[in-house]
Amino acid sequence: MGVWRVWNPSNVPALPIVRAFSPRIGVSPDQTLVARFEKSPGATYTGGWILVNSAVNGANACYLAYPGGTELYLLNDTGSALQPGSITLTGSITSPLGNSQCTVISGTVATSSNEIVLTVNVSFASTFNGNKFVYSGMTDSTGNNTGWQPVGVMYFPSSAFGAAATTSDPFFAPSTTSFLAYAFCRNFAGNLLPACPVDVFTLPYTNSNAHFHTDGPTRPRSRLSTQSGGPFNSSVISLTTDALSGQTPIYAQTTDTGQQEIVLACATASPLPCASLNYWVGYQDLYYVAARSQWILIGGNRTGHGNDDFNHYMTSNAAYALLATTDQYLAAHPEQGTIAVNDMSLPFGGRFDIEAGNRWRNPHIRHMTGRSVDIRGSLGASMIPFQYQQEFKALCFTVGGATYAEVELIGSSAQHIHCDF
Amino acid sequence: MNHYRNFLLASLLSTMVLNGQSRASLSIYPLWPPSGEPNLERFPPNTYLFLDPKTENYIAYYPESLSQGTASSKGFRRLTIELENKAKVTAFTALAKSPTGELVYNYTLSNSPDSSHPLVRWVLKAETSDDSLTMEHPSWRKFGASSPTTTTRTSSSDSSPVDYSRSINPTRLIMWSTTESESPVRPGASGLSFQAKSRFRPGLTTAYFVGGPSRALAFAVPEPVMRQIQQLLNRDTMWRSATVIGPRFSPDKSALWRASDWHLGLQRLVFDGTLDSKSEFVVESQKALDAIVRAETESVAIGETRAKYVWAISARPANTFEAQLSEALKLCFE
Repeated sequence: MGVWRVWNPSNVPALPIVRAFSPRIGVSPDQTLVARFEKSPGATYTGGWILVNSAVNGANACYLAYPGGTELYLLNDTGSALQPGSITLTGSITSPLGNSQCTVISGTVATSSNEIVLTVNVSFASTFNGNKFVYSGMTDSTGNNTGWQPVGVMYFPSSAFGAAATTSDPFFAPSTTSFLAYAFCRNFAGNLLPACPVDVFTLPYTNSNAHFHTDGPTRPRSRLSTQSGGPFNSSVISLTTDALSGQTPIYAQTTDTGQQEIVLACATASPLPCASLNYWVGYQDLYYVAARSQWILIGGNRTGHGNDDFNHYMTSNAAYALLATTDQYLAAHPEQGTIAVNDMSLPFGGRFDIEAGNRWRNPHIRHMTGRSVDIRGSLGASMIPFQYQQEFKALCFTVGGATYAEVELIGSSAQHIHCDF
Repeated sequence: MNHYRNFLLASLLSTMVLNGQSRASLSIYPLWPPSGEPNLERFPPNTYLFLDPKTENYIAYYPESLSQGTASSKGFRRLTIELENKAKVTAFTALAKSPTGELVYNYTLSNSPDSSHPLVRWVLKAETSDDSLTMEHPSWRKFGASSPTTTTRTSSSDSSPVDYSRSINPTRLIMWSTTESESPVRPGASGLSFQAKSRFRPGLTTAYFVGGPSRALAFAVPEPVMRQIQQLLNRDTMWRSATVIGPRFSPDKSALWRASDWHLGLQRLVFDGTLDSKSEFVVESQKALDAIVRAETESVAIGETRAKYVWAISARPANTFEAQLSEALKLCFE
């Protein structure tokens, strides 16, 4: 085992240096980290480090230490000592070396006169999620060190338990004013062209977020302004970019529709090609609630939002609350077997459009944010018997922590228990 | 029909002649002024990142007083963040069926001769729940297709009531990787034999191409600035992206799901100019997809079932990209 010592970076000279590091951005749980350490001329390499964590903190980190030679080490969860064992830097996979944050699969090292290139294959744990920084540093025999250099950023999507699904596009909450973009013009040599007339407009995507309507022209969409406070009167604006800076900010006031939209900016004199930015409006933290042993899915196949793929989205917290409520109810009534869960929210929330012809009116107003569910209380498979519906409603409050629960549409063929968690 | 108004608008745009000298752009970051350093008072508070429209790199610009121990300083620091999008790569997808019934996605990547950097890594956005996905390449390293961590995420047998893998756009990336000293796709060259196999049907997804300077930040950056840089360093900004065909739909995905997803994807390609909105193939494909959506969302009387849809359009693809789309659509709806 190599010699380990706690590293206390102090002065930051020109050399040694972490000359290069890749990737600068990591978004996959499996990563090949490549660090290029350059020592001072004539000096001897004495150590290099890679630290992946949310801050410069060795605790609960993926913290790699390379003291030179053929072995690579990983620090333990507290960042205070090496994990037992090492990775031999031959490129072959022998015995992986892991802590709670990451597992080192294999690695190689290449040396030249002044450089060491360390390549490490690392798999990050699914629990090590969120935004992480990558820091690296090195020392050589001059006694100088690089200090911790921020060399990259990693983002690991969270597991199923409570984190948001993501899109590649920006995301705006409904009914808020959000900064969107700066519009500017360039000439075809690529130079900035101030005082340039530009037409900017927003368009909704047809059939996005399960809004399967035939009402494109009347579909609500974000309205635009060049002032952060509006007025937001139209989804089409014409502007002239600032004569000095060459750019003009554009602000959007989003709608509660819940849909994918695009903003297009076209130079008035020569519209094509237009510039575009895609974005979503809605709630990003909703998850599909699948059928399971406690419940069946119903209700999605006769309405304007498609089939059961689209009307069963909830926040993670609400889904857990529903599960706890249901478990408690079924424990008291095992003869029931399953309940039937109807509408929750659309994939990104927003207006629910319970009927195909019901364009943007919203009788399902409570179903916009992923916190609501309707439980079958009328004749049909897995209905909760009439005499137990008040009991289920009460469990929504006492077990699920509901903020609202009620037996609704009593006496109709659509009677159900509505719970907001 | 009214719901084609958006496309008519796009069609109208595409009929306009490129007769001027200006081109509009949009940036979510303010521009770095051509004359020199920006006056931060002209921007919202705590604006530290700017886009340099000349180089298309980003510049972090912030008062030295943000750095610890330099509160009295009146100076500013400037840091250029170069993007790893310097490999101008195009992808061609060829689809085939394996003897075992999987779909074989063959990717040929070409790096433009005027690229300034070789392609050293590329990433395909895949589906979290695709346990059938495998990756091939004779020499590039491969990541993400059989990760035990992603398998854990897709499990529906645990106690979680939510199925992350079925949320819209779950993030799962598979990656082929090499280094500049090994076998990158150099400017002017093509890289063959990138292959993915899956039981998932084809749809539109995103590929990211990585090539360019990979330099460490040369000095420590104050946390408020680093937080903004962190927001900047996302794959859509840092890497070059393209819409490609990839394994998208699990075998049990409904026709409605597939059709609406394809419909959204084609709309995006029309909006961004990749597809010609006047193309007969594009128009017919959009109508056919919309027809599936309409049919799948109409009420069905009790006891009746929806008719199985067969993909059949008469328009011929006008170019190689449309031909790729045509083949994928056939396989998706067969």
